[in-house]
Amino acid sequence: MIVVCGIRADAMIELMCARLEDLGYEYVFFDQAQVPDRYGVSWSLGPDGVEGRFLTPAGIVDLQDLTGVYIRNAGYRGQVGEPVRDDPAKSGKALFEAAYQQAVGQLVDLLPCTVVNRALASASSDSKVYQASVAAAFGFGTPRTLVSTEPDAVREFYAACSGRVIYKSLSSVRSIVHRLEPRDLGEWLERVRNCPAQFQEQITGVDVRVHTVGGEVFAIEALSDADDYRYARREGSLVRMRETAVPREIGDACVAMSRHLGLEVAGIDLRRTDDGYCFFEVNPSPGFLFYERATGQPISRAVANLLRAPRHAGPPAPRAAPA
Amino acid sequence: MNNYRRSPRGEKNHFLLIGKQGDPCCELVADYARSNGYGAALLPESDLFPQLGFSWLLPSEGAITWHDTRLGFGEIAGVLNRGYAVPVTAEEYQTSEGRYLTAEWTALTAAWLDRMPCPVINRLKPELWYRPRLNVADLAALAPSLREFLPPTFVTTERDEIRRLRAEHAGDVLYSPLTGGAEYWTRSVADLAIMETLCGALITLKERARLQCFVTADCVVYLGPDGTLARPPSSDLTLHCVAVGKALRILFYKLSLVAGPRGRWYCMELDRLPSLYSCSPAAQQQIAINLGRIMCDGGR
Repeated sequence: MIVVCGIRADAMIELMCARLEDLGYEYVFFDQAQVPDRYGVSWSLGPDGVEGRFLTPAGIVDLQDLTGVYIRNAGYRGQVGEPVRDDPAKSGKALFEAAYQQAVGQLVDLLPCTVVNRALASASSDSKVYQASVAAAFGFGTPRTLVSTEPDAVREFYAACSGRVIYKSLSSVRSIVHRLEPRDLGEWLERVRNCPAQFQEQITGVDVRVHTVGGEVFAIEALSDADDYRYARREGSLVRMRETAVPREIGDACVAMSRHLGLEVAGIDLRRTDDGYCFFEVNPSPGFLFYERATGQPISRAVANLLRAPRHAGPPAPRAAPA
Repeated sequence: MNNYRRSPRGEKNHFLLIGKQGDPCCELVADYARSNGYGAALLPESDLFPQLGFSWLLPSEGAITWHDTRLGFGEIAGVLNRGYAVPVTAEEYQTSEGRYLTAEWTALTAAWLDRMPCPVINRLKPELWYRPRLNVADLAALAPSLREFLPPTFVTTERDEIRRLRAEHAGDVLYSPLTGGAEYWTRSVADLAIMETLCGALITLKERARLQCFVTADCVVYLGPDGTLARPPSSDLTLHCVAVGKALRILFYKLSLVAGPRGRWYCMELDRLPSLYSCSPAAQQQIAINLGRIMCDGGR
């Protein structure tokens, strides 16, 4: 049995339900927005692990019968992450909802079956710099990078990179790439004293998105003249995508890095250059619908098969990063 | 990158403390540093920007400037991170800019402290970035090998299940909200109403005694309810307490311990940013010395 956990309005949840239906795999949709009124969980924790069940209008699912869970964590009631301190009624509601979200999230983190993906494994995406250092340990190239609050250090870095520098956030918030232009080096750059930013040497090449699904690899090329192809439309540019292949060692490194981060499924952004593959980031909750539609790659089918495979007792064993 | 210099003697000669002014832990460790010939610089987390000068050329070159002191990363002998990665006031956090700065500082400290080539207390795996406190379910997920050290715990969103459990255990059910570190005995009807409203962990344990302990790598300091030093109940318990840190790869934390039937000890919660306010002066001193020693000893 497979549990798909999220909200119906999420296109990825819709896709996975449709794919499981299409393949004839037994699954239950667990609507997080309707906990505890129509959906619920009961579980206990002892020395031998976790026991219990998901409760849904379609029936009860014993945790013993699960082969996989597909979960998308979302601020599904429009409250999560928003400040609620000034409104006691709102803060009370947020607390109430956070508690129910935790009841489900903590259970999913404890399950011994395949989980795509555990919340515990998703935090690394909140530090792109952290991810880059992990990627470097797996043999990926990374652009020359400066993290700074000092305008003079940024100017020095700009000169060292011959003026080919982009900047972006360190976290996953406002994670859009912009080019640093000569006009930015004056008064405007002084703002960096108020908040650290990440500056990288601009790397020329072709964007490649690799999806890892267990040990499978799906690679796609994205062709665009935008600074960040994911936001090409905002810049008035177009993006074209096509299926591609990556060298075996790159595919293996992507799989190994995903496992190291505890991710059953990951979306890894690389750039193919004359010198090899340069790493940008790992997305622990990839919206592969966008890529599947553009190329026809059977990513959701691979995820469905992963969820149906026999249990493997816990999250992917973290592998030590190569020295 | 001329700014990123090492000290003239190329020595690791400073402790870097990230936290808040007046934190006894930071103050005592700074005293330890100075009395052992090191400098100590405190970065008060809520007052960092725009005063803080920070530049890091990956992977390892960089410097930090605070007031008139500039320290190359190579000059830092050890870091004690007592911050919550929130470099703004509560009021500023209400704004989108305040939350953005918090996200950026979190991302920076997580990556930078992970790469620092000196002792860092605590160097955190991503799973711990947003978890200063770990409840029983967190500990079970993050350290499965320690499940025998955790009390039997039940979580449910179902009212009938809560009532059944409470009746079965004759009111001896400890309730802990999943969103916080508090604990309540659920003995009255009013308690039951709270349990039914706010989903929590229900711990069924006939409690005999309580202790807390501060673990600093292999050293365990036990404290009684009044904050004074207590005798170790057993060497087995000490081994369990140390094993928690090894499983999570952290060096400093506090454990809340409860003795159940037959004198068996269980861990109810871990706090990786423990306050020393409730510790006796002797206990505070002992904990600070243990921390200082780790920072002086070097090595990752």
